[in-house]
Amino acid sequence: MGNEASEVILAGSGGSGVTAGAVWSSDAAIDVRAGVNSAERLRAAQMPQLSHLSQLAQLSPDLRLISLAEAPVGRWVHLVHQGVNGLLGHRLVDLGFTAGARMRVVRKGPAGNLIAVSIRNTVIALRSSEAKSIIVSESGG
Amino acid sequence: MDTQTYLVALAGNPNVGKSTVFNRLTGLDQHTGNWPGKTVALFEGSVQHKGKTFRLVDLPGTYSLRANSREEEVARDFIVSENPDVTVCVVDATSLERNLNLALQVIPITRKCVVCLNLMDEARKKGILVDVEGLSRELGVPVVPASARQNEGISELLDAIWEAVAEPVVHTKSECRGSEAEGGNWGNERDQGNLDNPDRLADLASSGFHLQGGDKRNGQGDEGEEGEEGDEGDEGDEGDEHVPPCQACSISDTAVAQVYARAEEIVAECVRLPEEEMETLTDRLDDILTSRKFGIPIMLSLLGLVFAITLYLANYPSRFLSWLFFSLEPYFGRLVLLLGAPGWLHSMLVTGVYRTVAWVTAVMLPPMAIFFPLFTLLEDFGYLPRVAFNLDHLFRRSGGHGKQALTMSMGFGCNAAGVVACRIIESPRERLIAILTNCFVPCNGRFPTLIMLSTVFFGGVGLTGSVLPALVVLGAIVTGVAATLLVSKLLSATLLRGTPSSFVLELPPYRKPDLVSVIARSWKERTIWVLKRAAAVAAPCGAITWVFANVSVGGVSLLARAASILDPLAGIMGMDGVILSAFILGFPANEIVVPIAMMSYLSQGAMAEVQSLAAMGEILRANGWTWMTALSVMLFSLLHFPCGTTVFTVLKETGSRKWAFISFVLPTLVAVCSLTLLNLVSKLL
Repeated sequence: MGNEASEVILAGSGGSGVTAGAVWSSDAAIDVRAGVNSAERLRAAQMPQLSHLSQLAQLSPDLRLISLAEAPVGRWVHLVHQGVNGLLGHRLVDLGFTAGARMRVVRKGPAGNLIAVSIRNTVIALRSSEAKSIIVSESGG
Repeated sequence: MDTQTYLVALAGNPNVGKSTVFNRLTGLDQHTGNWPGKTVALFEGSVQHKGKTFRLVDLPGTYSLRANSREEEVARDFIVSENPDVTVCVVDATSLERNLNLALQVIPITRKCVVCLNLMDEARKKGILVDVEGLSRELGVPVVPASARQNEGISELLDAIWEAVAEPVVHTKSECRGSEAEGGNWGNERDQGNLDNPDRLADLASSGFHLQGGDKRNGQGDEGEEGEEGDEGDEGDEGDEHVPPCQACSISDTAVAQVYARAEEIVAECVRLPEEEMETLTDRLDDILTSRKFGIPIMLSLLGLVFAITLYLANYPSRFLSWLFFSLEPYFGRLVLLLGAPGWLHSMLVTGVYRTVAWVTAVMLPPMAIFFPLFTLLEDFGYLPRVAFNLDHLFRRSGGHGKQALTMSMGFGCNAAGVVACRIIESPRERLIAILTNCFVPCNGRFPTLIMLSTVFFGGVGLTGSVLPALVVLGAIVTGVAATLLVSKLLSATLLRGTPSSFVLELPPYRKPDLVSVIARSWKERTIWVLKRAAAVAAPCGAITWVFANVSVGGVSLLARAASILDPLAGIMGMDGVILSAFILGFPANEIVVPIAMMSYLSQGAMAEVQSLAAMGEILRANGWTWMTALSVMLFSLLHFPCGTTVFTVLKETGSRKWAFISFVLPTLVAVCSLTLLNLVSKLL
């Protein structure tokens, strides 16, 4: 358990290949229910590469993995997995959506389908539907 | 005196003031927009400094050098194939991490690099402190702090460029190409530890990516850098082997992640960020300008304000220009006679060509010269991305793209300009939708027609008397927007089916626009454009119309004949043959539709000087016009085929005759159907 397990699981997930390295520790107190909830949500999202993440969520539930679309306005989160594929995915990586990147949802669009995210001192607007594929962690630092 | 001209390329993210730096360096007029990715045209200029001549090229703003968009391809290809003597990388001091992504990619592939650390004034305001010397050490290239908008740091930048070309290139360049295209050598590079060094963009898997290797750090050794980076290479490397590099781009996401890791290091080392991210004025403004409650109403009000100012202020210059041309007419006539022109030629040139050009200039120039600077100010301020942000959902539901809101707004100034603006929409399908529907908003050439007709048929006395016409014009605009959305929906369900593309947009901080230079530049640019168009389009048009009006077959002028042939069709649409023939003849330029109609009604072979709106109203009513006719004409003007310039622009932008043809036919069909329907409904009521 612990760090090594996390790394192995994550290294296996393909997709755009931008996944987190050994950034967090998982020796804090384990809230099993929180972990299971994250896992459930991620499984429900039905993204194949997230099956690994849902395992991770169970192993380290204090990570509080959620999608960027669900992130509350104003809360700082870290990027865990950039799951958007194709050209948009590359563009997001170019804009700094890489492993461990710190970001914060600044506001939601008037119709609710857009969110504005502050990342690396820049505000980027993207669709909520695409933000669903970006997994972030709410846990501290 | 050094006779060689050195090539200097300017690279940088969008929105970092790169164009401002370019302007300050070259003193050239160039349009700057606080709007990412506006154009792929490359601006050039030159400057002389301390005996050397530099040719500057402003590359498109890009976030990276991968081939994800035309701009990025152009930027990368330029650096790689043109091999500039110096590449100046303009970076934003307030978001250094993101900007270093590009800088770290540029540095290894260019002969010499100078980093311009711009927006230092904004950094100071935000409480961000940068250790410039440390940054220079980390990057291995000279770093020049600047505030281009305030003209600070420009001469230092020129000095740095000068020094960069004065120094000989210390190391030979090794170009790695071709063979590196296989995955196998990618492994090789990794073994040599090159992948660990983000400064070496070693993913060469899919394209001939020149690696101008050796050291580009103007004299420093390689070893020190590699040694530092060696350790971080372990992070995530196990995963890398199983991740194939992306097919579409030359640098994988993983490599970019490593570049960012290096950028984070550098920033941690050299930049002091304030404890808390201050809530800026931009945030507070955006809270209102993009809010659910106020966002869209404010937007509509702003647009309305721009129109109101344009139309109100345009009145005086319009009248002045009319007076001016009218006064000069006899002199022009005498000149023509002096040159020995026969009677008919004199008539054609004076009453045909001259009057048409005069009318067009007087009608079009003032609104254009006011609208465009206003719009540019909004653009420079940074408001336009917010418009796209507020309206994206509407356009998305119509199958279009949020940025179509922008191109549509540009169409209010000029449809041809709106079509060119569609370049900001990356997806070809959505770009086409935006191009084909751009003509449904009334351009500056059509606005005067709408206002004229509205005032004549709906206007009353005094201030209260102008409420109804104003509402009618507003109604016309709303109809135009509705038509844009509906036709977009239609297109995306039939001809242009496909999946909606993604929407990712930078919302730059609001910046005080450089008022004087924006207005001066935009005003000059527009005036020249209008005058050129008047000469190239309106003049020949005037000649042709004169011919139609003065050549008689069987006692009736060609114009009258055309009108009577078109009468039945026009009648179905609630108009008459004269109006329809005027629209057809007005294809080259929308502005001349009303003059041509007046010409026909007055049965004169020449463009008449109608002295007042009231007189115009009399003439129209005498020819059977009712307020319903006026409404129909306004609607037709709104929806019909775009002007010749616009169709030509569509041809150039799409490179396809088919789409240019459709851009003509589609609106016409929409107009004909809508008007027929309107007429039917009005007859039934």
